[in-house]
Amino acid sequence: MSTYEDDTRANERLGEFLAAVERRAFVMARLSTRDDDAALDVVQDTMLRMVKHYADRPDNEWPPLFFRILSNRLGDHHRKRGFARLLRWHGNEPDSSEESIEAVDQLPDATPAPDVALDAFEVGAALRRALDKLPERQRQVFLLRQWQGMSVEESATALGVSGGSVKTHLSRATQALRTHLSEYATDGPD
Amino acid sequence: MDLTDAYGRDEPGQGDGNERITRELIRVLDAETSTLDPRLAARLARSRCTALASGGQPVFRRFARPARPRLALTGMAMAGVLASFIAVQPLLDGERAPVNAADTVALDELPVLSASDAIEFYESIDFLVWLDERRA
Repeated sequence: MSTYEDDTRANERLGEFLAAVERRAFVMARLSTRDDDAALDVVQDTMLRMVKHYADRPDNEWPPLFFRILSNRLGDHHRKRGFARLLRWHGNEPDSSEESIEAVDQLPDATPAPDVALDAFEVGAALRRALDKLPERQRQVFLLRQWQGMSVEESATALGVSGGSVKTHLSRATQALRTHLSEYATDGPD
Repeated sequence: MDLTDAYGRDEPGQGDGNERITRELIRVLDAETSTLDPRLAARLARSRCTALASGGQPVFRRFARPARPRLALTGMAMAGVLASFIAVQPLLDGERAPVNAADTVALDELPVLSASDAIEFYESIDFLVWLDERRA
């Protein structure tokens, strides 16, 4: 009986944890996939695996485990997309041109928004674009360390890399962001 | 808002610029998270509830569960049909069995075989008929 109650309580706590991270996880996944549906699939799969494999783990282990799964699922997503691209390249998939056009349409616009009257909007768009331009691993490190507030060790666990690698990626990410934003400030509207 | 700071220009020290960039990015991401499309938020919540309710089992398996009894019934019915076919097969085979020519009996011999008299009797009659024809 007590075991059942413990399980129920653990399930509730896990539900609260997932509710707390699901939106951020979705935003991270969308940044990576650039597609709402794909991002939703990745997050759902992450939650399913989290519940299945790690529900009985201590609560403090959940954040790195969750983002570890998310990172792996995003890796799977990009591998599948790379394979699909390879198939299209070999001409095995018909009507790829239309799909490519749609995919390009869905990509964020590389040019600054015409309406630059609102400074806040302009800064936000520039920052978002700079984040989009980061390599996948650098972006993940930046988001985990700076946005999720994870420690170096937790981020390393989440991404399956060493602590030194996390520090290096974060440093490069910050530098790249700075460079992108400086370029925008130079080329973009004053 | 000081755009110059946010873009990382004219910073007194690189560290300060990086901090400002980070702070602004976090603000942008937080805003994106809090203003998420309600439909997307609802789908996320639904995914969470599904994951928790299913205990982590893939969704398609949950949908497959109610079909199991039906699957068992279908299997049993198919097994019954197969058993019936196997049981009837020998009868069908018996009807279709090829006829051995050596075992066949000519129609004109049927009266002889069906008669209650001995075959010798009919043979002697044949002899007498033949003798009578010779005499004539």
